[in-house]
Amino acid sequence: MGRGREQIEYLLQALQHSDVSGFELLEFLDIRSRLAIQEPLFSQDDRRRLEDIDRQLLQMAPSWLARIMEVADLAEMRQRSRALPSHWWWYLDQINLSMQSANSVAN
Amino acid sequence: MVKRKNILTFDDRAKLVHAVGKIQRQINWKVGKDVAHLNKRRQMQHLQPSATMLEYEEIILELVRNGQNTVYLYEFSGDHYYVARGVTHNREWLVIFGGGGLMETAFPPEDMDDYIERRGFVLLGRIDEVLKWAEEENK
Repeated sequence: MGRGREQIEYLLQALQHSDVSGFELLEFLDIRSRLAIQEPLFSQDDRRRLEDIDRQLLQMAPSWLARIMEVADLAEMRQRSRALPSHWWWYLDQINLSMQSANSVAN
Repeated sequence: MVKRKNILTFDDRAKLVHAVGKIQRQINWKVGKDVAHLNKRRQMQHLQPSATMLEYEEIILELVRNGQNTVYLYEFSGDHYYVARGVTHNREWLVIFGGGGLMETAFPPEDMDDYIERRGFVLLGRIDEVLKWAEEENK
């Protein structure tokens, strides 16, 4: 549990510094996937913090995707990472597309 | 078996040697990115909270100037990035830079081997070996 909490803290801090290379943002996604494996063991408090991380990441999806796409093809990266379909953070490209479609319908 | 040297064409090897030479002499950041990266390193406790840009760049220079450190190749969309991997101050770091030695980032991944495998970096060899390629070709 100690390691998981450290990783949560790591991601919370990393979220405050997203104006860095896409190579670092990809590491964020790696760590989020590691946390997903431990998630059932987390305390309520840790789960809340993880939800907060996910909420912030979702809000920043367009800018994070743009930064990642400067240095990598996200589809290729999720394939290399053997990302599970439930690991939505590896699908920022698809999420972004859906958000754009929803916005265009709304307008 | 393909020699690592032959992963790259003659021109690509020349670009690699040029990029390594450039970054060994001086760190060139994209505009405004130096401070953003330094702030993150301090916040994440990769560096002391009081660390200066000079100290951060000294770490980077130490890593890219150590010929025993390894260098990897990463290609995306026709661009080549070079990745130096080494240990300093009891931490294993990656320095990622592009053509012309332009700095992309320098940070210590939480799980180095996993990070390298997931990104698909291709091992080229030790920095000193890579620099020798140019000498051999110029003979």
